[in-house]
Amino acid sequence: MKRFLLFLPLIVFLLVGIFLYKGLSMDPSARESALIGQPLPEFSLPRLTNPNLLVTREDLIGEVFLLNVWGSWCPSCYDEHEEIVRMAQAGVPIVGLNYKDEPAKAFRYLSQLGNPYTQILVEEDGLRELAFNLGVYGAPETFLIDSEGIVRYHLAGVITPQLVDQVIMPEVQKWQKNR
Amino acid sequence: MAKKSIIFLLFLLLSATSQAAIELYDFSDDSYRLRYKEVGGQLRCPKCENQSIADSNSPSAYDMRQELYRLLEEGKTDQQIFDFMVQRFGDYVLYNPPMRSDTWLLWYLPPALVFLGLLLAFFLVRSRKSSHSTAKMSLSERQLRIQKILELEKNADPTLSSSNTKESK
Repeated sequence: MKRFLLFLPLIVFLLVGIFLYKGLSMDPSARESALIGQPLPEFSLPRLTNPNLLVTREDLIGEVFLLNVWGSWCPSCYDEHEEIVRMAQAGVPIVGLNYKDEPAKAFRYLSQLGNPYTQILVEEDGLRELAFNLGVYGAPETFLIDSEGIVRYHLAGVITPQLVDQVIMPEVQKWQKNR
Repeated sequence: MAKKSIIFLLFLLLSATSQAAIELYDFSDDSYRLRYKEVGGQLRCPKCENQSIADSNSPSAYDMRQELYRLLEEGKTDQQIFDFMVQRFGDYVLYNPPMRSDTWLLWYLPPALVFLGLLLAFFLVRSRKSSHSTAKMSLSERQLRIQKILELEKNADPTLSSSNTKESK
């Protein structure tokens, strides 16, 4: 018993060390969305190019697509735009959700960087129609929705080239096969 | 000069809007105001890890306060409001995590560690007390004890050497 007590500090140190070491490689802001496995919420939002035309959930469901939440006010959105263009060129349908933005600024953003989106929905500031129900708390955020309308993957943060090649494209292909 | 001071005054106007993080809500019932503060203080802002939505200035916390107000006015219970937020933002938004099989470590580890610490302290104090007891012994008692210890060592020696030879094989 006495012998064991002598080793107790070492054991405690090792246990704490293991936890702290694991913590080094963990991202505290990375957490799984509560929407994974849940259906895309109902909504009704205007299009950026045609504000009179309302788009609903049913208009989008049918094929696997990415929903990218962006705004011209969001610096990280500029960083990831190149990757969104690349995925669109590879044939992935990407629906944009222009979030808490102004149409004029959104148009300027697209004319500068190009428009990779199949269509762009507009959720102006103060409206809590879709982004809030998706648990969006910033931009950029990206969701993968399968052909049944179920949310299958979520990323809060910048899409990097590695993420596209190693995670997002494989996920898209996986759910395209699954139909 | 007059132009400059007018511009300065206009800039002052800007500073007034920059600190307008306090919203005005018109509660239909006074009890809602209390619950708004209480529930808002127990919901964690998704954008800022260490602030409740009542404290945070982030747009997402603002949206959550707006929804909180709407839900209160709709007559929802606290639990319904928590469920509503968890459905969208996950367990993360709760400052009081739910008691479940995957969270029991979170709940029981701290009291268990305190208990272990108390146990350890108890044994340490007891063993120290027993070692101090030699100080109270008289001279003859001490000599007796020393003799006992020496005898014990003599008896222990052969077993020690025999185990040593076993190991060397």
